[in-house]
Amino acid sequence: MKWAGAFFIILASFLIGQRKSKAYTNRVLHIRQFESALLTLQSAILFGADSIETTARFIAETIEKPAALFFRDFAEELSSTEMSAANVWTHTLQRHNEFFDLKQSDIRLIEQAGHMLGSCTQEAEERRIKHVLKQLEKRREEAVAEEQRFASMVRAISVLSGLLTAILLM
Amino acid sequence: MTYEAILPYLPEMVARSVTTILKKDPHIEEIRLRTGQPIELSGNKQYVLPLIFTEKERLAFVHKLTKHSFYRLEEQLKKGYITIEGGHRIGLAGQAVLKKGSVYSMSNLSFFNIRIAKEKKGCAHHLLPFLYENGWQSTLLIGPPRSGKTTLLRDLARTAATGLTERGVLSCKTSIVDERSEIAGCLNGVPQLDVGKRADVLDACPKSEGMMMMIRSMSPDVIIVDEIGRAEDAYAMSEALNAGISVIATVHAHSYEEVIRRPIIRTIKESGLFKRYMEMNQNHECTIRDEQGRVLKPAMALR
Repeated sequence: MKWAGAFFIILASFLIGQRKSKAYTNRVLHIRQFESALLTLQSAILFGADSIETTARFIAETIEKPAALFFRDFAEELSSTEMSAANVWTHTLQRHNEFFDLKQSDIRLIEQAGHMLGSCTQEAEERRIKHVLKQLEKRREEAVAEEQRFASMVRAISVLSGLLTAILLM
Repeated sequence: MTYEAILPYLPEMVARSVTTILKKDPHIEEIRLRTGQPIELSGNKQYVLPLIFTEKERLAFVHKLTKHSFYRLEEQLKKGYITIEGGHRIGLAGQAVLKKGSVYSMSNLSFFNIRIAKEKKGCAHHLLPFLYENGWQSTLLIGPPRSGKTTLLRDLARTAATGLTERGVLSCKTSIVDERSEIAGCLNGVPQLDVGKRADVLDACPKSEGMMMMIRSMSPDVIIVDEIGRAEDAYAMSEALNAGISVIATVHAHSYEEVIRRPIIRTIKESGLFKRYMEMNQNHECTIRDEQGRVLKPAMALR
């Protein structure tokens, strides 16, 4: 019985560690998804060919979840609303916030990408997206460093702390 | 052409109110939206709705009009209007954005003039005995605004491009130079209004350049052009007329006498390039003159 309990404690702490370390990996992944989506949006704006709604639908089909779901919902809402694209962007982001392993500061940065979206000139749109992309690049580098530094450490610590708890309780 | 294509662009409340009037009065030509002012509809009669076009509705209208993508309309904004499905045109006014002294774009769009595209198919048919004699006679349509010049021009283009066998009119290669997208109402290069089977349309191109391009590339039998008036237009027209191409053009003026006082038109008239002059007035009547200016048909009603 005791051995079974100890096994469950170690398993639980291992899973918690896995989850925590996955959050580091996911943060990098999710930032990358937004970077690639914003690059697509930037070229659509630059060539003036497609509307934001069409581009968002295209992005939703070409990237992975959860960013794909965000862009799909954003496009859906754009097609039926009288609100500005910037408002729709913010509202959709708030709704999808929980599906991303991003820090609040990352979310605020992505929110900035939607600020004035679709309501200014090509030049201004391009400048703003470029600025956000630069910031996201820095965030990604920081996230990669954090992942390398902490992901395996968190996994090891959680297994060890599970082991310690099990030993102390036995 | 019906007005239904306009409704999806209007904010819900506005769409509901104008639909009632549009259903009741088929002669409505314009819907005017001015921020903070009542909505106005005009045609034969004028209607002022007891509904203020608010700031919120202005924003909603701009979002719908631009499809939330303002950047896509920069070129159109320079011209001051947008053409939508159905060939309807939305004139815009707001704050002009200048770059190196010329209009680069427009921001804070606050005033809108929605011009409902109208087609009157066959309205030029009763004029054919004067304008078509073994081929199209080069004709200048003279008239003030709202006299129906463009509607008549479009029907002439359609008749020339499709032909009318019962009247002995053969279809011919017709080139339309549509600088203001009013004749064919092109959307993404595709005419939204019926301009006939053998019509080639050069949309949003300056008239003089457009006429020369069409002469070089499309070998037209007839060139259709709206609102001539500059020296370059006259040069391009004389090039076409001397190349044996018939030109049907419109010019903004109240009478034949007024128009031939303009040096450019007088020069063209003296060279005898135009075979017919058609004066039109706001009562939708027209007088047809020959190349010498002699009246061929006094004041007849336009259909």
